[in-house]
Amino acid sequence: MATDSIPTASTATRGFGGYARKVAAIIGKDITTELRTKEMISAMFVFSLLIIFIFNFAFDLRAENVQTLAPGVLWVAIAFAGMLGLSRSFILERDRGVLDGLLLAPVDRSAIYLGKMIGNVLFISLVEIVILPFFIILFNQPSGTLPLLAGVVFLGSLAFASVGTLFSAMAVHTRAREVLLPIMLFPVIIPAMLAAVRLTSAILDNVPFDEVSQWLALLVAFDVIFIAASFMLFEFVVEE
Amino acid sequence: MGDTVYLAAAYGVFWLVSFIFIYSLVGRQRSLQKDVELLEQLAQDEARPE
Amino acid sequence: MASKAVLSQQEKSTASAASGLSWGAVLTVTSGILMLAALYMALIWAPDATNLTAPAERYAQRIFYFHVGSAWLGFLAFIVAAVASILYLVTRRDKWDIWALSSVEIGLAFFTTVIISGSIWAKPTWNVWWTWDPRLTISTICWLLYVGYLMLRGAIDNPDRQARFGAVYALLAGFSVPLNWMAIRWWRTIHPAVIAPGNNADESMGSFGMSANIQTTLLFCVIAFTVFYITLMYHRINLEQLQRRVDTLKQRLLYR
Repeated sequence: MATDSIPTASTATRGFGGYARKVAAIIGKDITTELRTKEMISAMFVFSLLIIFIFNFAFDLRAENVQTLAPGVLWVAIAFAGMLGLSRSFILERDRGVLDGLLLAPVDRSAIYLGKMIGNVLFISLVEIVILPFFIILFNQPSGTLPLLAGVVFLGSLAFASVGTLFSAMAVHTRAREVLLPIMLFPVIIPAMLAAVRLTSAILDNVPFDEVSQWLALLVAFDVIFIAASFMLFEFVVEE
Repeated sequence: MGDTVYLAAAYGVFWLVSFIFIYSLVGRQRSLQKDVELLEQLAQDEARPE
Repeated sequence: MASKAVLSQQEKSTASAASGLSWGAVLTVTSGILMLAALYMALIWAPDATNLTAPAERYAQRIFYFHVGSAWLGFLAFIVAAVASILYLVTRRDKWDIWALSSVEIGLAFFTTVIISGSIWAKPTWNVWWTWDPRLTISTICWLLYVGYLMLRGAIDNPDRQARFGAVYALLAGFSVPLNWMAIRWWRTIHPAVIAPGNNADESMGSFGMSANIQTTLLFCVIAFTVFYITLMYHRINLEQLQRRVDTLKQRLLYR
């Protein structure tokens, strides 16, 4: 890998292809690190399962109320587990000096953001898509909804990771560290959460798409706006 | 009395919060003033021996 | 006021010396008079709303003037903060960071009164302290967003990083406010049954006709609050500038 990157550096620094390769390299680095320990993925997975279980007891879910509460439970689980993953996202980088290395590398700052963000989306949506079958079984939901649910989970994770990656990079430079991340992130992503919950309940209740199309538009708009904004603002966060 | 209690409470809260905010500004101003005096003292003490 | 003397000593750059009369004093006196006049108009001069019959509701309607005034001040403060944040990121001048921080602090103070007075008004009008009314909800989310801003700044030691992170956060928070607004409105209109008291009529319940004098009072309140905001900003900005100068001086003198 190292021998490969040196000769290509001169040719690949320019153009879209070079940029994409850099982003891919950062994603690859994160995946490799994660696959070695599987710390984050397993923690997020177990944590979301636990949340689903705890809600089941706390709300005493029965057939008559499960339909109204299930989407909320799913998204609280995703939000909390995603928070767990995001808060780890830059701590390793900072503690082991990886971030300094990345910043010294001849890479556009926004490429670092995109790489980290896509990595986070992959981890979060992967974990949650594995959780979905459990959710469907435990809450006795129709299994045919799985592909659509996976789509909504992906869009929701994208919203979550878009601004979450940026805030996570900010939070590691504060004294409070991961304590601050949920306080910053949750109020900002409320619109995306509302949209995701609405879409999820529409899918589970088999509501015609027309009635919830505005929520899909809102979720997509949120993704686009916040990815673009975070993409542009990231360089202000890591400049040092 | 019973009818105006909400009105009184709402305006009371407004003025209370406003005054707490202004008071906090004054408090910060005072502590800054102390710092300025301390700094002046320090500057004078340093100037004297020369 | 002794504190003002320090200010005018320190702030040679401000226009105060030229006219002999400090801008701060003029603003303070003007906004004091305006706020008292607004109070008089809201409590005494404005007529009762004609269609509200219950006395408690009729009195509570007068909360509306200062409630709307505070909300206006709060939103103005947050807009100024967002603009100042953009200007800071573009120009990197300390001035804009001071503006953003001062504005957020003031906005937060007044949003606190908006939420509390809204809640107090809701009790006699809707007979509950809290409903998940879109406006109340969005105000609370705004409040939480900007509490996050101050907490973020508070957790950072490096002043330059404080300014940069604060500006980035304020911008993203600013983007999320309109989206929050849309989402919360849709949430309510699609699912009115979520809220127990007063379903569809909830929005119109407690509404009242706006006679000419009520409108005049409201307009006057908005103007008075705007002047009040400018006054508070003036003092808060001066304070922050002084604070930063003292901090630099301290570092220069004590840690040589």
